[in-house]
Amino acid sequence: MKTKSKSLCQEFGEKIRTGSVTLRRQFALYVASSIVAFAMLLLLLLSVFGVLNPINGRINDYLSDQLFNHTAQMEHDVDKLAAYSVSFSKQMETLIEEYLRDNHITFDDLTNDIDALTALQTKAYSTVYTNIQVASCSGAFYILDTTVNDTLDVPNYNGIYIRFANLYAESTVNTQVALFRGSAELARANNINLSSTWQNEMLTDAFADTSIFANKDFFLSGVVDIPDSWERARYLYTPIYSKNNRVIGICGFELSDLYLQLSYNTADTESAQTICALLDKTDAGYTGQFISNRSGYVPPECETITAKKNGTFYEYRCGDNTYIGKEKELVTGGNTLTVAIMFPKPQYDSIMHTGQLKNIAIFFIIAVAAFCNCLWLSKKYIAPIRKSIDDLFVFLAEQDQKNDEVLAEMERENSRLAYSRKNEVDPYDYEQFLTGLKTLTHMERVVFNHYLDGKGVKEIMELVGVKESTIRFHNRNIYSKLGVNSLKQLLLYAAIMKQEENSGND
Amino acid sequence: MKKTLSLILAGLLLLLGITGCTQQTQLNPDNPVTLTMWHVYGSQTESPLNDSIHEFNCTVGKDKGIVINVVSVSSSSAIDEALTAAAEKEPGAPQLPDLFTAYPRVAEIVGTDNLLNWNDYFTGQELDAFVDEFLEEGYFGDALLMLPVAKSTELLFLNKTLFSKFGTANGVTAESLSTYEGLFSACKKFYDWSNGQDMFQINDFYHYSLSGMAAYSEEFVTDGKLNLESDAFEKVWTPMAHAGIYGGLCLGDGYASDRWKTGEIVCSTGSTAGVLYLRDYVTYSDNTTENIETAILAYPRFEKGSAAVVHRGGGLFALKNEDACKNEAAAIFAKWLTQKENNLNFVTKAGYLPVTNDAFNSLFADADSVENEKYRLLYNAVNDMSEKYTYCEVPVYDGVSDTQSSFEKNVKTVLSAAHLEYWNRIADGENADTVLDELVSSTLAKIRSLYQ
Repeated sequence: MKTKSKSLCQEFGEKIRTGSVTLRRQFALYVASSIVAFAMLLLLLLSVFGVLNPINGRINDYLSDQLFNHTAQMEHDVDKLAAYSVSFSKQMETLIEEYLRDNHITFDDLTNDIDALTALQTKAYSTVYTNIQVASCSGAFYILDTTVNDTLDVPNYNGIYIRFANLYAESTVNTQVALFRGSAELARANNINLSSTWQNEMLTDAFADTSIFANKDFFLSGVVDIPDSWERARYLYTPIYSKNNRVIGICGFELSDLYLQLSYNTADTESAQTICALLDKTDAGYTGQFISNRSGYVPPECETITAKKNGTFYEYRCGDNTYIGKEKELVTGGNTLTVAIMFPKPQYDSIMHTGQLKNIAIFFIIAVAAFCNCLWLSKKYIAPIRKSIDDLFVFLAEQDQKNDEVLAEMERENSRLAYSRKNEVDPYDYEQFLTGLKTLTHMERVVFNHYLDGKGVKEIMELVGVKESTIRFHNRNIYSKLGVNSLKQLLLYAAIMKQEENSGND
Repeated sequence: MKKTLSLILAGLLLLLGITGCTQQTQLNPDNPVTLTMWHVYGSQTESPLNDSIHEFNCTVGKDKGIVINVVSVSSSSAIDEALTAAAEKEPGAPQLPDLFTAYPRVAEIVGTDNLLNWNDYFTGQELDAFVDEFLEEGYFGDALLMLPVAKSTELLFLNKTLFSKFGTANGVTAESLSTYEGLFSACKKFYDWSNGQDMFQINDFYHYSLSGMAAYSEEFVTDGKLNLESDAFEKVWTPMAHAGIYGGLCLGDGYASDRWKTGEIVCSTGSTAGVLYLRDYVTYSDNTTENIETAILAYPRFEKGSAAVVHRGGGLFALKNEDACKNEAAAIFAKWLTQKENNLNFVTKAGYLPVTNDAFNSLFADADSVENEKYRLLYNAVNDMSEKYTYCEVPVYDGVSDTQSSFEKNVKTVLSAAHLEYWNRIADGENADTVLDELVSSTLAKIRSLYQ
């Protein structure tokens, strides 16, 4: 009995100790999970409330801001340029009217009159030059529906078209102009160079995209190649009316690709080369002008730009290159254009990839932090608890051992006493007792067992549910059958019997 | 435990490494580096260098992640002015480009410390491939700041169609234009024949004087000042002043190529690169045109001097950038542009001379193989000159740009005034020869006085 009791205690203690390691792990796991869950919830809330904006959201915000600014700026600038163009037209109308009146000729008389047309150009030059200087443009011109030579195979318009010769910046202060179209004599008189692609007059199909003498206040054309040049431009022009309200020419401004690039280049970012585009819709997609960012990046030329909506953004294709961006319609200058802000798709992919890696890094760092925190918590709080539990089990084991020893001593004493009593008991009486036991009725046996369990008369009454007189009746029968005179004698014989049974079992 | 911590630390470092290094440190085709560029090869017309750059962007540039963006194509003087404005941060000045072509004089304007030293990117073997004289011009101390990409010399361009009309009527042959004396004499005859038109335009009076004095074995610039007091200058000035004062020598501003377009001149001296702007037709004031034949002749020499001509052409400069990728990209582009095939392809379309020995020898070993007839004439003329002429460099000194432009302006002003005075005095009945000699002397004295 003693050995069995000890091994159970040790087993229990070991189980508890092993259990404490599992408990520690569970604790660490619970705390770590809680921290990670809390961190994720925090990140989620920060994201939902915009404190932590996802990368796509930040790109969207950035592109939207740029798009809004560029569109507003372009709308404002074209509007201003249109105002200058209308004013330019009025100046030209007055100037031509004065010239015709002073020389007593009509507009139709100008045709084939080299001297008159050259004189008119000389008179108009300062107006054209002033307008190119004040307006935000790369060139200024007027052309009239007349020519120095109407016998040529290819029809021409006469007029002046001057362009800035060396554009480096949006600011054109002190920038030289060159005569692109107009009388060479005019260039000599005003000490300006001829453009390398100079011609005396302008071919009538130079503005092929529209009817230039339509009755519109002003019109912003699509993009056309500047004749004999590597440059392209769009034109904003206004009709010039004669005094009898006939359109006799147009005047306006040139907005070359280069000028737009210098005027609207987008801000640089570390990871994306953002470009702006002013596009015209066509059946196949878009054509138009690209405007570089400050680093100077501008996409290689392509005939058609296609656009496909892809989630939040548009995916633009220009030749072999793909861009991600946003666009906005711009109704200005009697034309509907599209302003787009975009940057190369490989850069977009790179940003997204970096963002994903950063997210992974954040979660990894949180997990590592949680793990380290749990290790620390475990060391700081769980280890002392575990030590206390270990000490408690040692103490309890010691107490177990002491109790076992006391119990064993008591059992030894009990046996000794039983043995001693047995010797004092009359063997005949004891034999009668053992024989009498077999004659007890069921109820008498129940009452007898209750006595052996140390119960009193009242307790037995309650347990069995009979009256006291009944108990006493059973008592008499029990005593008589067992041959005892008292309860004390009965209990003595019963103890001896039990001791003998135990000895027999052992 | 230690093993676990080590693994965690390694993982953290790796993640931080991946996510933290957003600054690009190497050229990357997915994230190309853009270099802005100003150059002079083509002006507002189709630019041969732009064509080459387009080819670079579509091939090597695309593979390596380099985009060359030509922002401006203009003249060297315009680039000088813009660089000065940008370097001095004048209001409204443009941003300095990453690459630009210019003459050595701009190095001081931009600041030699701000320019990329090509020596750091070219091996000794690569530099040995360049024509020595072309390379020498780009050195500032030990640093090679200007890399030659195309060079030129000067020639005489002749509108053969117009000249033949005049020559036939006056017994003047194209051979007589081989010397300045013959050329200036023809100018005067042309002036009479054409009722006051100019025949000849010197594109650069500074270069005329420089090569002229070299022909008489003297230097035009000594100690950073113009050497106008020498007898050699008088020998150079006198025949030119005769034509300038009498008439027939153009003293107006603007490029000779402008007057070539309208048939206002018959011939001009100028850079080989001028061939790009010489049209095959002239346009008259009634907007009719006439096709013309062009002759390209050796640079005129002086009868009593040796044959000397200016050797021209700037080079490629790159701004030193904090971004090492940009510096590397500039070097890759420069190497590509000066490789034999690429260089020949570019220079032979622009009328320039190649800059490496191999390309130079290859071109002149078979100049007849150049497809365009006008360019073939040009390279044959250069080839003919190559062994007979002395090539002189344009010296670099403080204020060279201002001196050069002021000399140009002053020569024209002095001679134009004398031209008016001459014809006024002739109209007043004075002796023509006496007046002309007097004015030649007085203009010489005047121009000398301006540079004392």
